Amino acid sequence: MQEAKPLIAHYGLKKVSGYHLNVFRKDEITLVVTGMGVFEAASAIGLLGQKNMLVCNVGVAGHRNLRVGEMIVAHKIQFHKLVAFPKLLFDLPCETKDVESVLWPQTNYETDSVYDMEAFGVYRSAMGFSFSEQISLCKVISDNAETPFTKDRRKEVSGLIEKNLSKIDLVVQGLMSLPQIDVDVDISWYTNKMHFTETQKEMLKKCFRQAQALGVSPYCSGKSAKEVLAFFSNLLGEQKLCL
Amino acid sequence: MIIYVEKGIKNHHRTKKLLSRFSDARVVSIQKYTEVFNRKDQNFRLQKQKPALILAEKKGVFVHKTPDLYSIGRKNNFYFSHILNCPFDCDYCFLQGMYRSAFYVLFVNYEDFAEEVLKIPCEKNTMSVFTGYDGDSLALNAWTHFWDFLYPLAEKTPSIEYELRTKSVAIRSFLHQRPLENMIIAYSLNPEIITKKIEKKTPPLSSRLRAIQELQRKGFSIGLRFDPIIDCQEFSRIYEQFFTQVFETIDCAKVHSVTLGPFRVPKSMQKNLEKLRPLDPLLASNQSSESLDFCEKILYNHFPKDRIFLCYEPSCSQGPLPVLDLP
Repeated sequence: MQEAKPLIAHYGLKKVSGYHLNVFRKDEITLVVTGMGVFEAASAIGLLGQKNMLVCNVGVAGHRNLRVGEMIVAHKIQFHKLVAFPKLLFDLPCETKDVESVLWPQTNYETDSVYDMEAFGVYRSAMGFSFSEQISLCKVISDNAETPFTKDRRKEVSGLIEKNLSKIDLVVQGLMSLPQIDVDVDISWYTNKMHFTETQKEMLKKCFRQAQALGVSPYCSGKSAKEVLAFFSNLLGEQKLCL
Repeated sequence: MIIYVEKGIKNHHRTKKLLSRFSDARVVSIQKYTEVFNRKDQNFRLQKQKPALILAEKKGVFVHKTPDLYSIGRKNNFYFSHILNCPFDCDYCFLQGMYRSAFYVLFVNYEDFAEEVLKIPCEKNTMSVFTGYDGDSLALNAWTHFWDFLYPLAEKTPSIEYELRTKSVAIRSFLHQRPLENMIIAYSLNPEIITKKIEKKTPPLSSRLRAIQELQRKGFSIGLRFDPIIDCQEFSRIYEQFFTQVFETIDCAKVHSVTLGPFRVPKSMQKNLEKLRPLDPLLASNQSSESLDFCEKILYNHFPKDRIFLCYEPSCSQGPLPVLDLP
């Protein structure tokens, strides 16, 4: 919850009831407090999953010598022998690093990786809904070999996140700048008037998109699904590309 | 820029040279390029926004037979791909249906490709090798220095014909070299209005024609690739003007070969393409066979028959693309 506080304030989020986890929302931004741990993080993402959602995981992590308060974005994540590479398609405001998700807090920082406890869970769960390019993992260093993390330092977490809000926001904006890839079409004009089987609905959607792409009207006076689809077949089959 | 580097080739001279060129790149070490490239959880269109570069070592099969009808006159046709994907963004490109990733993969072990090419048992002067099948041969030459590799190979093996297929006009770096008859620089061409709308991020037609002029003047072998032809409204007017512009600019007599092909997408890739580009007018439009007949006639008026190669069966040239199958 310490990590979430500055984000809730920054984005003006309001608590949403009806979830067993803490969920906050305003407009298109939803924040879920996952709790600590790879599996907890994974199930929290599953709770909110939507097709092609943009996911930004914000949390604290440790590294052997990175400065406390420094933010990094993961270019590689690892959990035991599992490895994944989140794609970074926009300009980043900070360095990128390998992030290793672990089940228990690390204090010996064996490798040059950043150690956290959620990133891999968030990523793998989000992959059920989104493409790799739509997921970013931001980690703010809370501890290193010189400054280990202790219970007394928990209060500092909000401050560490707060200091990086502008960078986190750039990552969020970067994700939001990605082109929309799912084009849904509204076929209710037809389906409200006549019956279409599920297969016919899919075909109608495809026709709608094609008509839209070619700049021709997708509406006709057909009285049955068959008639409507036949109309499209004639209409679209002859359309030349307009330059 | 992000550059993924396979651990096994981090000390390869081409890797080092490339990394020194991009000293501010974020370098990520990987075991195998397939960890990053072409995974099922990726989106080609999203990656096209900002493609990363992957440096890898090619293993397994290096050289492939070309599909039928992919020929410029010789009996034995092969291709190899030192690079996958390209910086251009053509709406018709089959690579977006084939790969899930738009990242560039550069296989740095060029010499292994050469070794395999030389092992192919073919009679003298019967073999063509194509290099621009899975990516533009020269578009990223400033990074890849592929020309510098291929040139001595072509010089050493004059009985093998090598085709570099490209839309790139960055020719200055090799213009000073002695032209080799068996090294064909093949330009893909389409009318300017189509180039602007469909061949995004590519050099305009006028620049490509200037590059061809310059290369012809220096004596390089040039191929013309009218492939794919894009059927559209006012097709005859647009393509007639286009061919006039091309033939007024270049020296037809010195053209090595001309190919003509329709816009075609293998069935297996059509669905992927439609998913990726649901609102693409090209995919939604009707591409008829008459357009090819029209171009064929014009080409036969300008080139001898033995220099024209059709990338389709003339008798059953492409019909309209399927738009809808009624239940």
